Amino acid sequence: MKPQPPAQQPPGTRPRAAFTLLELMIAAALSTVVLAVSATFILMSAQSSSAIVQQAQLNERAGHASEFIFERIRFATSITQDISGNTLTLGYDTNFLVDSDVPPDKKTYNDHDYFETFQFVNGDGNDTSTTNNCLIYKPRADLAITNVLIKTGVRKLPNKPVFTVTNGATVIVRFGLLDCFASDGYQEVDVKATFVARNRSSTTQVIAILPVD
Amino acid sequence: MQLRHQLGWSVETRYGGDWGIHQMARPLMPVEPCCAGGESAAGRRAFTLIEVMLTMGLLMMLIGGALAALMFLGRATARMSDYTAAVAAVQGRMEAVRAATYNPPSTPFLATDLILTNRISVALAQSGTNYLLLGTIVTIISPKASGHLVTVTGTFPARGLPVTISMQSLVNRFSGGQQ
Repeated sequence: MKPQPPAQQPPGTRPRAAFTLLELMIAAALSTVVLAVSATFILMSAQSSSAIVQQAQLNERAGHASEFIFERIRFATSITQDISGNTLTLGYDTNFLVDSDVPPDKKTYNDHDYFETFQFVNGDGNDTSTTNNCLIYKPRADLAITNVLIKTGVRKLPNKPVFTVTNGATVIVRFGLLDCFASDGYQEVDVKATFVARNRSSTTQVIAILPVD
Repeated sequence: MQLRHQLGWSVETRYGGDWGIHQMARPLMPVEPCCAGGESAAGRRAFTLIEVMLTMGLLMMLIGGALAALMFLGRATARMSDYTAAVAAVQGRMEAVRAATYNPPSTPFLATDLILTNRISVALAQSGTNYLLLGTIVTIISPKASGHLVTVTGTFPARGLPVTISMQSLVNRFSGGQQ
């Protein structure tokens, strides 16, 4: 048998062998593994970044809401809550030179000329479904104007009301914020804060160690 | 060599081995033309079983190391989260003491040490029904010449290893928060 003559190659080029099917399959499998690992790392990195951003936003929202409630409590002349502990009502004196109490108590700085409210609202009558739970603020309790402090993800802490007024001057605020975007894991913030009104009666001047739980 | 003489073949082994037949002067079947280095495409040396096993072992070590690193990162993140929550709880207790009216020797700023122990729960679970982190906070208020030294120590058994956080502050009538 006579050997086949070599195929004609253009001058200056080298003949190259093609990949076999086995080589291609191994290369494809290895590429798939590398791609899968890379995709997993990218996905985890994206989830981590999303979780960090979401946690920062939750902290910001909770801090802002707490600070705002604290600021309004500090200057309130009266503090009350409803039975459920979902609504906090604050009274304010608009004119420190006039005694508008009925009957007058001869004090011009402790009147209740108007009221503001903070309220925990669940959108569907169920406190545990957090997506439609919100925290609202009404700058005038007698008007329909409503500002939403936190529009979603608000929840009660277990067996605790959101607002507790202890002695007419101290308010314990407890609520949690839950990240409703479940794809980046579970992020939440709990707020347990105690606020004391500055404009309080003389009987509440001495403040003990405030409860934190 | 005896085989070469009998069959009239010319056998070349590139590496001196006894299995790598690369070129035959008079083969029985047609052979592809040689490469520039004198090596045919079909006659290249394949990987041995040892080489494949070593490669797979190294690959498994790499994947195992990466997985272990990921698991460690996950645990570290959870532990950092617990630590942050514990620090916030201890700091809150410290602020509560600092906010109390300073009028010694009235409580809580007595002429002797006052030790308060409180159970505290932080880090609400996703279900919203239970806490993930339960701990104990011990508050010690000791009289000093310039006021009262407040030491708050929180201990939380967080994810295997306990977390202990301690803070100190001096409280007197000039402290922030006092009237």
